[in-house]
Amino acid sequence: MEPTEETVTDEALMASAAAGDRKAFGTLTRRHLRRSIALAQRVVGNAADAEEVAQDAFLQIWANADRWRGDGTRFTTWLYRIVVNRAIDYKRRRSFAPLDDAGEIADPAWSAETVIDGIRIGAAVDAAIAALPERQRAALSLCYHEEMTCAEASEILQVSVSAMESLLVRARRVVRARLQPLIRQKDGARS
Amino acid sequence: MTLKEFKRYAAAYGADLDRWPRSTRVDALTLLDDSAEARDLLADAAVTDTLLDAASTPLVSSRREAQVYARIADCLSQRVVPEFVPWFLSRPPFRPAPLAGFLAGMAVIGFLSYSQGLVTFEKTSTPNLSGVMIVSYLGDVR
Repeated sequence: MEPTEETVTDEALMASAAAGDRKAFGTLTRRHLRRSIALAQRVVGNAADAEEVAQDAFLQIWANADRWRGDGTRFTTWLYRIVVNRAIDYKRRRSFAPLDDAGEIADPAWSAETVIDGIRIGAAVDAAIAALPERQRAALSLCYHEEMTCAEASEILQVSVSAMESLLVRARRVVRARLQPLIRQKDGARS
Repeated sequence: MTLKEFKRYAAAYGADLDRWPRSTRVDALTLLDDSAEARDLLADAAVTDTLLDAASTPLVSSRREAQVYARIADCLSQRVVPEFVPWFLSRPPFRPAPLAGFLAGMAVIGFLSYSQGLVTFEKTSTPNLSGVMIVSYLGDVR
């Protein structure tokens, strides 16, 4: 029985795309575009740049489709590696972004009522994550928010598993330290 | 598993043991049963997890996804006819095989042309160097 568009694997579609099949590439793009945009947005921090990163990543994949070897590598590993690398490059190039683009910094003077406001806590957490170095942010996004295993994420970032763990430890520690005033206030409000 | 290793895993993966490497989970549970300090470490990691859970999730609407897809399709349709790039100007990696073939072909054509008499090399007459000598002489006098 022939596999349908829904059942055909990413790797088979990529092999067809490598042979110049635009339809197969279109199917692959539709399948992974949304998650790629979301991943890019976690790294670059805003929607417009994330769209550009995802677009560039897919065009790069098409341009280099003939380099796809399919030697056991998962297509998604290759795709997310390109997305993350482009997002990191993009973020570095835009490191001097206008002040208006910067996230809101957690204000330690918030009242207890404000602290329990989930939206504001979310904004503070977003700002703390946005202030992380790119690779730490990417590590956190892949392992925590995209729920990949450390091994998968380390393949995407092209580091060893122990280096990936170090990135995660540092990222979590920094986020925690930046949000410590919120935690203290929340604890104070409880007591 | 030592407490130090437990601390390292909790700091990297958080309080949810399902995120930990599969090989460490049983040892971690055993240590949790035995050590109050391990339980404190996990509770502390849970606080960081709660904070990370509060981060907003990027929302990618179907409309936004369709717009990006359309832009990708647009870019691809503009690239239907690839730019012509001669193989000898092609980008790296350098392609030695076609170059070697080209040079070998030219050598064969050159040899055959010469051996069949299509190309001849006539001796030119010996140049008259008297003028040169005069110039040289004048230069020496000056």
